[in-house]
Amino acid sequence: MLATKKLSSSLLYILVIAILLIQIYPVVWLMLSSFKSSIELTTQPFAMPSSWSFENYASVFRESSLLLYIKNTAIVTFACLALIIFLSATAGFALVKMINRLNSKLLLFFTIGIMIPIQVTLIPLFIMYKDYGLLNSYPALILPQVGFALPLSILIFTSFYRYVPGELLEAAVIDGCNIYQVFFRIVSPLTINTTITVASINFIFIWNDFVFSNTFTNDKAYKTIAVGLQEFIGAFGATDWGQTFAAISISIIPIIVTYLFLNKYVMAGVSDGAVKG
Amino acid sequence: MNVLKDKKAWLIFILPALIFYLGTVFVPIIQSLKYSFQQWNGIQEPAYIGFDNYIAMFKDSYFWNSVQNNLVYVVIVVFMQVFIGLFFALMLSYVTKGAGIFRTLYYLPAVVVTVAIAQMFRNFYSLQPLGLLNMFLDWVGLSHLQSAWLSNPHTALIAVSIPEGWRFIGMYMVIFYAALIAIPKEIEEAATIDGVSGWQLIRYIKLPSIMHVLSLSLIMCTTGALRGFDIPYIIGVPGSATELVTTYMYKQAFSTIQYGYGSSIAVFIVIESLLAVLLIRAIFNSRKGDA
Amino acid sequence: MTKKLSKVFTGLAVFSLAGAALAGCGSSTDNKNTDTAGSSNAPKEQTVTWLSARPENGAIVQTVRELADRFAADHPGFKLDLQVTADRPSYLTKLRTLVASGQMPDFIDSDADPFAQELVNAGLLVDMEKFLKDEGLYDKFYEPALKYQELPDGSLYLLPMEYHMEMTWYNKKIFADNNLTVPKTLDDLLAVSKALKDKGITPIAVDGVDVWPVLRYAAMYPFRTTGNQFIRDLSQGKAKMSDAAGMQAADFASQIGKYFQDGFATTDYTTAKNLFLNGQAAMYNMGTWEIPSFVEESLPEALKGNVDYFYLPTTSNAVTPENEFFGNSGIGLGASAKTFDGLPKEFLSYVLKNYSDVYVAKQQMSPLKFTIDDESKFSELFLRIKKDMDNYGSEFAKPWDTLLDPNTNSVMSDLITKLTMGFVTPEDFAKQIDDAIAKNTAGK
Repeated sequence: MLATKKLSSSLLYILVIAILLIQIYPVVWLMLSSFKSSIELTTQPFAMPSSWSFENYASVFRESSLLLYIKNTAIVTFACLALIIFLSATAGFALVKMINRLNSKLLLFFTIGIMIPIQVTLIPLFIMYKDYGLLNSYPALILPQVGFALPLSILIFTSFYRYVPGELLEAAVIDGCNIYQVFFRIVSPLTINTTITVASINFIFIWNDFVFSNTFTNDKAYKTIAVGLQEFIGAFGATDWGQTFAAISISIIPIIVTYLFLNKYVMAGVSDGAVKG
Repeated sequence: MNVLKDKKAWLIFILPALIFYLGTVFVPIIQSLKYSFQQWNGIQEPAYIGFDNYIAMFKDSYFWNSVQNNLVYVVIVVFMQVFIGLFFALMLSYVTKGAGIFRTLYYLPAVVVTVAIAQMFRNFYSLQPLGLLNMFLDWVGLSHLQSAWLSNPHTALIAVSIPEGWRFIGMYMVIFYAALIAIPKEIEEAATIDGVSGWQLIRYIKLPSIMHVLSLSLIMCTTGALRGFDIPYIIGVPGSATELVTTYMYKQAFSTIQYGYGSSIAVFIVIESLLAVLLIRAIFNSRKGDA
Repeated sequence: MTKKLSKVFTGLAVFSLAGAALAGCGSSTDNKNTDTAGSSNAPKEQTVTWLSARPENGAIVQTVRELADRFAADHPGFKLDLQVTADRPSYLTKLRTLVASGQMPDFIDSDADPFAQELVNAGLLVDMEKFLKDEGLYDKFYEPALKYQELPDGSLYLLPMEYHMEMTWYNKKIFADNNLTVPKTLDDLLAVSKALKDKGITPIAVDGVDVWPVLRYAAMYPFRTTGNQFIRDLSQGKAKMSDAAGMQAADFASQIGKYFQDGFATTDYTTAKNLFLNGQAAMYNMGTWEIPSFVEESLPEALKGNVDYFYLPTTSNAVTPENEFFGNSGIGLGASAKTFDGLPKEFLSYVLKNYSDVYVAKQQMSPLKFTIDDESKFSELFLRIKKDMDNYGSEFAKPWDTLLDPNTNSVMSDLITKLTMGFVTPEDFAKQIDDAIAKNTAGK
């Protein structure tokens, strides 16, 4: 019994690690590629770099204001995440845990938002932002991201709020909590994990967004990373992949650090939730 | 429970999100709906033409080709993201040591910007210069199967679907994992005491407990794939072999400057997605009825 | 523990409010421009915007920036806001969104395509022929460079900022090792390619992702046998792909497609070029903008002294002279008719009058006539091609994609790729193209 358990457990680890290798490969490939010369990169894309040259990195810092773009992207991303979480957690709570006959209709109404192909809304959006006087500013980058992220985030919150037992809310109400206290003191702490899930999902989309930032801003002061990568495209579509990959590698480092940091936090949240639940 | 019926509080919770949503998403959608009944190239005054765009769309064989491609794309992407994502989450839920690190690292492909993923796969499938996939075939002695996977019309569609499916597996895994650990421990413990274990525990306890997250993920993934754009747009073969509805819509709106026509394709996408959502919901609700 | 987490959450809520406040700050900075424009004391500030599709670190953008700085020295308050999006589809999306919203910038970049024609029809673009003649600049341009920018009716609304000829670069060593000589005719080109392929060498590296390099091959035969007549007629529905000239083009494309690298349809620009530079392909068709890649000092060790070029081979019944072939003057520069008079006009005139001085010094061929005084500053290759350029005929071979309507173009991209890959026969290709043209020219 013990032996089979041990065997299946080591098989599990072998599988987990094998998949791990596949999953981390793109980042490894990206980083290796960022050290290669242009010819090596395109003719031997999967070999180890023949020499470790920092030339690509040097020219990224020489020719582009990557750090500024990283800063802009970070500002936009965090402002978006804060708004998204706050708005979708509150709305999701009301839609699932409060009683109102409009709830199911409203939820469907929000759901439509996840079906919109954004490319075609660009022109009406642009006209609207122009009228609001919002072009070329952080809000021009933040508002559409938040608006388009809300439907999905609300859906996720509503799905997870269902795990919060109704008796818990009732008990809190009997103890004299008002509705805001129920939300902030009882429900929110229990769904910290959901919050982080919503944040991780939106994080990727916002961090990598190109369409909105390219359309709604044209000032270098507001350029984001995805738009900044355009600087490595040359005449007639000749892309300098070495520099592009070096720039992406640099921009990925803060993400990985944030995730590893958040990861610790998620684990803390999980065990708390378990104790509580 | 009057506290939970408090209308004023309900409005306070709902309104900020609703206003945001109406302002940034819904108003432009209505505008797009209007454009879909117009002939407009983005320069001259738009002309109202009734349902002409929709009629043209139903007669457009390139459009139907893109719909067909898109369905194949949806099947591949949904399979990879939802099923493999679920598999990863279940697998990691049994890992005791370092689960957090594994989860974070499994998520990595999602954080790499699209251009890099696209370029990597372009190289991965390539025959000249020799890409990883063809190297591998050669290595296992199947060199007669070598092909330029991305340009070959028979394999191109599958080849562009896989990267898109793969890169977000980690994202779905995170959602499923969050749901799995949200299952109250008592349920699992009670089942274990009753002698339920292994596969049965998953089949009868874990999966039913995360049913609504599963349906949410299916909705998310299906609607996402129906709007699939990035990777097929970047590495797809020039032409119709890897054309999806959204890439076709985009080209109609911006390359052939028929903005009205592009908008009517957008409306098609919304309707198609809505049908998919209703279908998924119906399936899950009938399941609930059975149990 | 619960308390601590709820603190975190309220902290998050506060942070989101701060985010909203921050949003408020951002929008106020946006108003600044209009405010300062209205203030009276300081020299009147005017920002001229140019939405550009040219590479950020390329010679054109650098040249214009330098000239803008000089111009600003004499014109206090002048500022050039040069907004660059080098990826063409992204650029076009942005341009078209701006135009559709009534926000056309002072200067834009555009090909002489149907979109430009629509802009002209709507009265949004400045007539450049008139402008150049008024300023006495018309004759300062090389004729082919201007002609390339003309709309199908011969009017000129776009200005060339660059000037290129296109040629086939070839690997001399591979040719010599296989006893091959430079092809004189298009049939020779097929024969040379076949000989190479038989030896197991990839004859031609081509960028299939961008489609135009592939489409050039289809355009070769008709240009030699009819000049630009065939493609002009085809685009207007007056000629058919299934005509003799068209079938010749289709046959040639399907033949030459066999000699491209495997899977060329998804090979990007950089990879195709590097296949050639790495000695893995014998020929590579690309223009003079790539001179910097082919000068001796930038060639890889193995290729030094081994790269040469030839222009478009001819045919037995050619009507175009050998000194006419493919070339282009890049994407054109257009000016908004609404805002042109005044500072933008002055600025453009200043740029054009000083353009060659700055631009040529960056080792570039200028569309404005120039002579080279100090040859020591230029590479041998550059000087040789400059001589070719001085001997060029009067008109470039027109790339097909600049003449066909957008719908036919998207059908063409699909079919030319399939034709060269061998998935469509020349007959089917011709039939489907004719159907598309019939459908798309019918309404006009």
